Amino acid sequence: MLDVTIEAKARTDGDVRSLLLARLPEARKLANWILHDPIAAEDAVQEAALLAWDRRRSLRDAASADAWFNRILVNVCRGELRRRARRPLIVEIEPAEDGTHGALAIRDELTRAIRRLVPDEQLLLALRYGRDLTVPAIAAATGMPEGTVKSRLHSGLEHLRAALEAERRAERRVEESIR
Amino acid sequence: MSQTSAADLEFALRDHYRSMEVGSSRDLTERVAVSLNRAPIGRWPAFRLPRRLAAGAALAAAGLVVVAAVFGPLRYGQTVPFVPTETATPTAGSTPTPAVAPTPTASPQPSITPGMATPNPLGLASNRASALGRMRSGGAWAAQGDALCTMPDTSTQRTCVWPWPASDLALPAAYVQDSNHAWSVTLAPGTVSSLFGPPLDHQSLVVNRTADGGFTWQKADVPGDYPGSTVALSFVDPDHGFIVTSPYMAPLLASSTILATSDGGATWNVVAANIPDNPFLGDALAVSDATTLWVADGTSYSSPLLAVSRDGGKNWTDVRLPGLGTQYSEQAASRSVTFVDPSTGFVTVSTSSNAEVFGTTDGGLTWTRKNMPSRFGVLAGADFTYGLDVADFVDADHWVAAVGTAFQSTADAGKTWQLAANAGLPRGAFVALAFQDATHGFGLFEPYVAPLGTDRYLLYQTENGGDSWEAVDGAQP
Repeated sequence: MLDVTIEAKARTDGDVRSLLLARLPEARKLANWILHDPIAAEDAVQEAALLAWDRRRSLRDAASADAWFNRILVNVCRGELRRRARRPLIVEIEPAEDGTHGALAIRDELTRAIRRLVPDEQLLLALRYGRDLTVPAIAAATGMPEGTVKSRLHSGLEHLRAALEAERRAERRVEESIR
Repeated sequence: MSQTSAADLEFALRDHYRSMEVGSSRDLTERVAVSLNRAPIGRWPAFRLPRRLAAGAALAAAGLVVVAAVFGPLRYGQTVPFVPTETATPTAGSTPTPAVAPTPTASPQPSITPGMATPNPLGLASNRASALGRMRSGGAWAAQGDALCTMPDTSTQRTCVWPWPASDLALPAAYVQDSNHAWSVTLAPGTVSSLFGPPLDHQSLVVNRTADGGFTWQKADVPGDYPGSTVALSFVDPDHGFIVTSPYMAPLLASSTILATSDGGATWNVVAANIPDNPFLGDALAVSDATTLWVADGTSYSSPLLAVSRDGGKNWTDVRLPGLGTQYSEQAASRSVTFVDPSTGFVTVSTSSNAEVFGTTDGGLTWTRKNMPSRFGVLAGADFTYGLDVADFVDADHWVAAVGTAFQSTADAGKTWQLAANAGLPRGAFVALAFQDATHGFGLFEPYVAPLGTDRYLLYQTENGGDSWEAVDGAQP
């Protein structure tokens, strides 16, 4: 959660600048949750900040700055996910040395599985389980109807479960080929 | 972890995201601060597109000019001959003479194989589709690529026409009355869709209509501006239809509007706007008779689960569903409303604990809860789910429904359900069903690995109540 709260009305460029800079650490976390790539996350935050700066006239109230900037950032990340979806997904699978699943291996497995999902599902899972947003808050941040958010969260989890199974099958094939 | 439960998966996800620490953001803050400092301070900037977007927009505009020059004359079918399937016997009403002689080089010649397509041996997604629905006259329609296909009965005949003005709304709006009459809603020039919704956004609408099976299409402007709104469209007969718009982007700034036509969609008149207490009515519209409209699938906290107007859309009343009350909430969200005749209708509702179907046999005066297959209940109760994925109601007794690939059907209004074998499907989930009778029908299917592009779904057909499914290839070469 944000550790900086600014109650004043955002009326000047200086105020908006402060609001934006205060939100960068949390924004970087959110972008990384969505993109699973710290460097791409930084690029996205920078792009979102500049976009927000261009559109700062549309920020009426500092109290809504979080939702306002989140929405811009989410759209930038969504664009990056969609661009990424047009590139082939290349994953490297390294078998665990002792043949068991360590915590790190499970995390890598989950990362790869998440990246197999369609962009909007990746986005919604990050907002729901990373950022801990409620369904209405996700709807506000993405512009999707709440019903769509719910159904895509549901399908995202189902698809993730299937993608995890696919990951495990791939790992087993790698392990068998090594033996 | 061979079979991950929903609770385990949610826990693992939270743990996964928590573990993704990114370290100090000091460098990033400094970089952004420098970037912002380069921008002028002290005045609000005039609206401008970022450089990259501006370049993209210029390229897109140039591309549109070229596309319009090449394909514009074809867009509404003026020069595209209507070509029925090889098995179709042309009738006077369905084979009008083209107004303009077709241009051989520009007119795509169909290579439709009548009946069910053979499965693609290479496994390519040739059966891609973007929409599937039920025609009011019975049977199904589907949008595949740039083609509109109708499947009116259980014969193997499929009629496809292209190009057709497919709806380009975020939530596509189209309605097919029968094999001849269809409508779609598209965006008009001047539509602005920004990051922020109203008041920056503007959405102007055009209704495209055909009365000759898609051979020719006419356009009609819809009066008004509907920024950030979904659009639902339905007709009671070829002349009388309704549009309901619902502002999902800013339900506090705008309100649902109801429009009506009595000349087949040539002109539209606002029947009601600023509906009291219901600024966001919903995305699902059904018309049970000439003056009775039903709306469901609203996703704002002000939305009713089900609302009815019995005076052609002027006044609306929220309908109380047994055990659920009247309002949308995170615990109960209606998904669809369907009337198979003026008296018999159904509403599907996803709740936090189950999938529900409510039915009426008295024109909506009373609604009763129906029995759903136990698998849905187990899925809904035990897992993270919002219940029923898709359902279709053939008549008062014959229904079909699916969660994921679990397609089931009932022949006794839900008293008993049969789980089909569902052979021939890839991994994925049904997103829509449209059945011609109890055993013949179509399913729009979302594979786990979705193909790129707008047609991300696959179209399948069954002739044995879901025991086996075959891919339905697209009609275009």
